[in-house]
Formats: sequence, C-alpha cells, structure tokens
Amino acid sequence: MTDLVARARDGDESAFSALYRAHAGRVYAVCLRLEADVSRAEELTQDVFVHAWERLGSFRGESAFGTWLHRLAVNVVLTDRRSAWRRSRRVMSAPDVSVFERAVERDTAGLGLDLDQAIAALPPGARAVFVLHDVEGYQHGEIAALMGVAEGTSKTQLFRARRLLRQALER
Amino acid sequence: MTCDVVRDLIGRHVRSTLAEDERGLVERHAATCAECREALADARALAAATALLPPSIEPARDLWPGVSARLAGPKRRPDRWRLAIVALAASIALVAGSSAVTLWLVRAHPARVAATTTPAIEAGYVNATESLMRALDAERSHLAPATVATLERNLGVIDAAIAESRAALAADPGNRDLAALLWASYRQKVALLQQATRLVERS
Amino acid sequence: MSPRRPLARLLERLLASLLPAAALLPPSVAAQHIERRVAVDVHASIRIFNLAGSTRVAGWDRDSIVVTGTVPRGGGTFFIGGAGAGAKLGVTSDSLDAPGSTLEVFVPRGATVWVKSSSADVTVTGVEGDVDISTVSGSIRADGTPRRISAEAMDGSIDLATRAAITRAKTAGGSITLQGGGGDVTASSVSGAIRYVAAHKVLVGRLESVTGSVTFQGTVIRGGTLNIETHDGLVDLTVPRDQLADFDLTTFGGSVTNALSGAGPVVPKGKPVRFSSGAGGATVTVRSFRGNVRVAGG
Repeated sequence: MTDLVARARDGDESAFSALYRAHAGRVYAVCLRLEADVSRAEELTQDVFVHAWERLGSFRGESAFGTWLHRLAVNVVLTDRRSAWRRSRRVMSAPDVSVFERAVERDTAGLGLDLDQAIAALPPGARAVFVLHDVEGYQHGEIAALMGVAEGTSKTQLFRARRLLRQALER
Repeated sequence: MTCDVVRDLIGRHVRSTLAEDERGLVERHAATCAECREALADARALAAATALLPPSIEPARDLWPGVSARLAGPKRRPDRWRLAIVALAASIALVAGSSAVTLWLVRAHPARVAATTTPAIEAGYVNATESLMRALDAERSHLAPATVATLERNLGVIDAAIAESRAALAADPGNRDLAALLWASYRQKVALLQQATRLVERS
Repeated sequence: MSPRRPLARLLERLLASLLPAAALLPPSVAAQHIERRVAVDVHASIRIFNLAGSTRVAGWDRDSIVVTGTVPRGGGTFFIGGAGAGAKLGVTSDSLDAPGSTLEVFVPRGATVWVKSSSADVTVTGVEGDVDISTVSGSIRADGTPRRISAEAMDGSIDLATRAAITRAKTAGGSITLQGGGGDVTASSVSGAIRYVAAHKVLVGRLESVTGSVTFQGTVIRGGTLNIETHDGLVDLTVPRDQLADFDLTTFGGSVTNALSGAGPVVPKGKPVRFSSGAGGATVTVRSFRGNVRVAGG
C-alpha cells in the first residue's frame, strides 16, 4: 500500500486528510448519484470517511485504496438506505439537481448534465441499480447481493431505469 | 433466442464487445421482438451520455471538518462487550418460559419472573427488543447490507405475526394460548436480534 | 508491501501472459496454496474463520491440526496461530466481497470447534467435542456425534445428521433438516422450513417457526416432550402407530387433522384438541395461530 495509506492506518490524521482530499469527490459522486439528495449525500460522504478511518486497521493493501474506499461507500449508502432505524431527523426532500451543474467538466452540449438530472428523478430502486450497473460497473449478481434482492429484480430494474432515462432525455 | 438471454447480452452489444455470432443473434432477435428492440435502443441512447458522466463531483462545502470532528477519540472496533451485555440482559429480563434458543450461557441462569400481567409482560419484551435494536443500530456498519436486508425481512415477518396475535389477544384477553403464541413471536424477535448481535461480535 | 511501479506491473503482465502464472508471480498476486500443521491437545478449542468459499472440518485420531486449502488471488490472507489447548486459523480480508477460499481442516476428534462464516458453506464431520457453527448465507452440514452442536444461519440452510446431547439449530430464512437428534433438540426458524426426521427417540424436542412449515417424523420417548410453536406454518407430524403419547393441539385459524384415528380436518378455533395414542406417556403439544396441524401414523 502507499505510504500515505500506511501512515493513515497508523493513526496519522494529516495523512488521512490528504487521502480525503484525493478521494472525496469520487465518494461524493457515488453518494449523490445513489441518494439524489444533497444533504444526505454530504452526511453519507462523511460517514464513509469515518468508517474508512475505523476500518483502516484491517486494510491490508490487497486492493487499491480507492477501490476499497469505493466499495465501502457503496456499502455504507446501501446499508443506510435499507436501515429501518434511520434517524427521523432525515427530511424527505426533492432532489436538488442544481448541484450537478457544477460537475460539468467538458463542453458536451449539456449531455452529462441532463443525464445526472434524469438519474436523480428515477425511483430509488431503479436509480440504485442503474448507478451501480451502468455507471459504476457492478454486475447483477453483486448488486443483488448488496441490495438484498433477487438477480432478476436487479435486471428488471435496470431495464426500467434505462427506459425511463431514455424517455427523459429524448423529451 | 429467448428475451432473457438476449437482454443479458445487450450491454456488451452496445459496447461492441460481443463475438460476431452473438452480435448477429441479438440483432436477429431484435428484428422480430419489439420489447428487446426497445431495450437495445434504450441502452444505445444512454451509452454515450453515461460514459461522459464525471466520475468525481466536488461537494458544495468542505466536508472535512465534519469528518475530522468524528475522528477524535480512539478508533472504534465493534463494542463486543456492550452488545453481549445488552443481549444477556434482554434474555434475563424475560419472563418464565424463556425460549430455549437463547444463549447456552443464559440457560444456566433461569429467567426471573419480572411481571405477570399481559401489558407488563409485553413491556418486558418491547424493552428487550428496543434495547437490542438500539445496540445493533450503533454497530450496523459492521454488518453487510445483504445481512441487514435479511434481518429486516425476517423482522417484518415476525412483526406481522406479533400484530396478528396482539389483535387476537385484544379481542380475547384471558386466552392463555393466544398469549403464549404472542410471547412465542416476541421470543423469536429477541432471538433473531440476539443472533444479529452475535454476527457483529464475532466479526 | 513494496510499492508497485507501473513498469514492473506491466512487465509482470507480459510475462504472465507467456508463462504459467503461479510459477512466476509472487504469492501475494497468485492463488495461495495452504498446507500447515500444528500440534494441539486432544480436547483443544479450535476457532476457524473463513467468510467466503467453503470450509470442511473433519475429526481424526491425531493430536494435531492439519489445514490445506487455497486462497485465490484477492481472497485475503491465511493465518494460523496457537498450540496446545487452543488454536485459531482462517482467512481474513479487508474486502467485504473478496473471492472465497477453500479450507479443509483436520482436527483432533475430541476437539471443540467453532466455525465462523458469512457465505462460505461449512461442513463438520467426525468431531466429538462441542461444535458451534455460524453463517449468514452459507449452508451448514454436520454429521457424527458431537457432545453439543449449535448451528446458526440467517439465510443459509442447516442440515444436521448428528446425534448430540444438545442440538440447537437456528435460522431466519434458511431451511433446517435434522436427521439424528437424541437428547435435547431445538430447531427455530422465522420463515425457513423445519424438517426433523428423528433417527433416535426424542427426549426433549422443541420446534419453533413463525411462517416456516414444521415436519416431524419419529418416536417420542415415554416421558419425553415434543413442543411445536408456529404462527402460520403448516405442522405435519408422523409418529409410529404404536407411539404412546398425549396430544394437545391448538390452532386458532387453522384446521386439525387426527389421521391416527382416521378423522377428517376440524376447525377448533382456539379450542384445544386433545387425544391420546395408546396408553399415552409422551407429551406432544402444538400451538399454532393459523397453521394447519396434521398428525398421522406411519
């Protein structure tokens, strides 16, 4: 593993903050796309890094840190989503899609922007499967295991998501 | 070529990673099947846009201070002792007739009879399940999402049974057999939650 | 672990495509083959930890542990420690979904064995001490005569062909199949089916489910008890025609069929159905909220 990760693992908080700077955008992107709720995504991003700090002790460098962190982020978001014991202070809010406007890095005639907005408007189950499969590259078997659904359900949700997204984009 | 098989190939078809014969099979099927043709068109329409999605998005505000504040204090491993104590207390607080599925350890300590009226007995079970759920809630990051999903699914089954038994008992309050069935469902709930705490403890 | 430079990795990949991988790549990259031996006491406590893949534990007549197996690439790290009265071994990984490892562990017959898994299937055979197996989705199989056996799963199926003084099988959604018994047996599930085919006479049997069906076939010893509690599960009891038992069957929403007497189903609506076979002697109690109850001879 890299020197930075090794130092963070030994408890060096400044090393961990450097890891945060390097990976926060990636983690936030996953959380935001899965949750479609800015304040929730911000909280979850913080949760992910707090969990990462706690679990670094068991990280042995068999995978790249970024990969490990990404998996952790997906697990944290899905666990939170499934939890029946969610804090009631969470307020259901309509997705704030203006946040995606800052994310456009290339002049793509707004293609990427529209898609993120459309993804945010998907129903939660379809959104999760689309993001995990088409955006993040997970396989249906993994998604089914992560979400506690049948593989067939994951496939159906994916096709539903793609249909809804295509309709939204071609409107 | 069934639709299921073709649909599994759609993703790779759009990315042009299918072998020639598989590609042909997909296209021939899509020529005759409207649904699969649409599914293929959906995937094609999205492929370019999905590839352009930025992999990283900067949060609007700096989230590091919120993280740093929570790092204060020693790195936390699952709090095995607290969980074990809560699980044990839940067992001991239950009235006589305790389920034989509680920990072997508890079998050596027969449950004290804490109450004899139905509301009091129920309160005992509700306290036990609430304290177990609170303890588990604090540790749920140490459980895989699929495990949490299984746990919640089965808790749902038990809760439905509890609701039915309660309603029946409310309509027939003196009925000891109905009460026994209600306590049996509550014991199932306690046992399942204790089992979940053991999954965390042993991780 | 030394930092891996891109050029070194590229070179490895080129070479790997030309030559057998295991011969060239360092162990951390290729699959790891395990073969270890540790001397332990005949009644040692042995803890085995393997979350994914498969774990097989077999008792044998030597005072040592021998473990063989394979940890695939990315599967984690094998560890083994201890000697004498206690030992611990297994595979740990920092990834929640690492590929599974295959472990085969020989332990002294009299050892006490504790096996932890998540999705790994677990088999324990020929162990005579206490056996304690816990999985989440992995299946559990055991046979032989452990002193006590406890098997717990969330979704994994449990299959015990053991005879023990105390048997505990607990699952949420998985099925439970018991084909041995004897002694004190408890099987509990939420939605999984329970099937108890008692090869040995039942002394104390307790079968509990919420919605899972409960099937029992066997003999209850004179003075023994068989208690079945379910909310919604179908209850099907088959006892020998010469079973001597007092039956006490209660269901509120279901039907009761006493096929021993040739009677058809009745709907007692909470009123207990009581009858005896032969001179009685054993006690069979069934309480069900809505599940149908059937007692037959066979």
